[in-house]
Amino acid sequence: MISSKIIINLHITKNYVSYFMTDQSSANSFDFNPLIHAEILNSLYENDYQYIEEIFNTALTHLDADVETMRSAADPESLRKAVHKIKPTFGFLGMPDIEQQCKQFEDRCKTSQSIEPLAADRDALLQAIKEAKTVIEQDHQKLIIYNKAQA
Amino acid sequence: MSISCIIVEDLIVAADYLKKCCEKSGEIEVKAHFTNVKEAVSFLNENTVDLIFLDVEMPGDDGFTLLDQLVYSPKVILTTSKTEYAYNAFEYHVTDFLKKPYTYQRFQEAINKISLTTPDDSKRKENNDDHIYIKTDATE
Repeated sequence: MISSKIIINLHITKNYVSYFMTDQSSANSFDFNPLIHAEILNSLYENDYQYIEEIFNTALTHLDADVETMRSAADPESLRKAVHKIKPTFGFLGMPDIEQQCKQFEDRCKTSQSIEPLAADRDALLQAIKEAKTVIEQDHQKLIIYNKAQA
Repeated sequence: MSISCIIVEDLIVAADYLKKCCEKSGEIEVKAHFTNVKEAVSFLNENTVDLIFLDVEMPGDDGFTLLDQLVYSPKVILTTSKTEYAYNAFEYHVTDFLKKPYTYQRFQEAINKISLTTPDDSKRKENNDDHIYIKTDATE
């Protein structure tokens, strides 16, 4: 019982120190692309860069499939659902501007009777998502290097 | 205290984030994750949980359809990116409504609401399932 308590205390202490050190170094050590709101990431993941790397990786793994669903949607409701699904991904990636664009386009889909009037805006949004993905890929690679260096 | 839950969420990033939050809390045990209502209902017909983290819009049926099909009443926390569902959430007596993305602190506030409320209906259901009552006029 005594041993367990010591281990738990050490564990907690280790986490605290680790967190503290990460927090101290975060302001200067890792610069996210300006399109990514670092303060949002920090509020969600509390400066845990391993965690952010995981989230970026998960998002990148699934983003293409969600984009394809959006691209191939044959009617406004299917398109709206596809955009609705992809939208919060950018919230979790600290990209509220893209998230907001998705929200606006999702609302537009509700008012359209056919896919044709939406096509131009859909393509513009797809382009914005593609550019956002490139930014995430770049910062993901930087994070991998950064986290390896920290390990 | 350990609260058992399932996650019904089609966005993998959101589900992973939620799993991490549960793990970090130390009081939520994630029994399973489903990306659609049909599979979740199938699981819930065979298993009892204390809590459901439920997205609303998913492929196929929506989250409210799942709530309509439940034969007992676990606590429910809606996780959605659409605040428009707040009224429905109120109508379905859900415990809380987390708008994606939410912070761990906000998640913890939702969990505190679970912890502060009375023992959930799932426990009542469990107890009820222990017995059946048959009224009869038969005599020997």
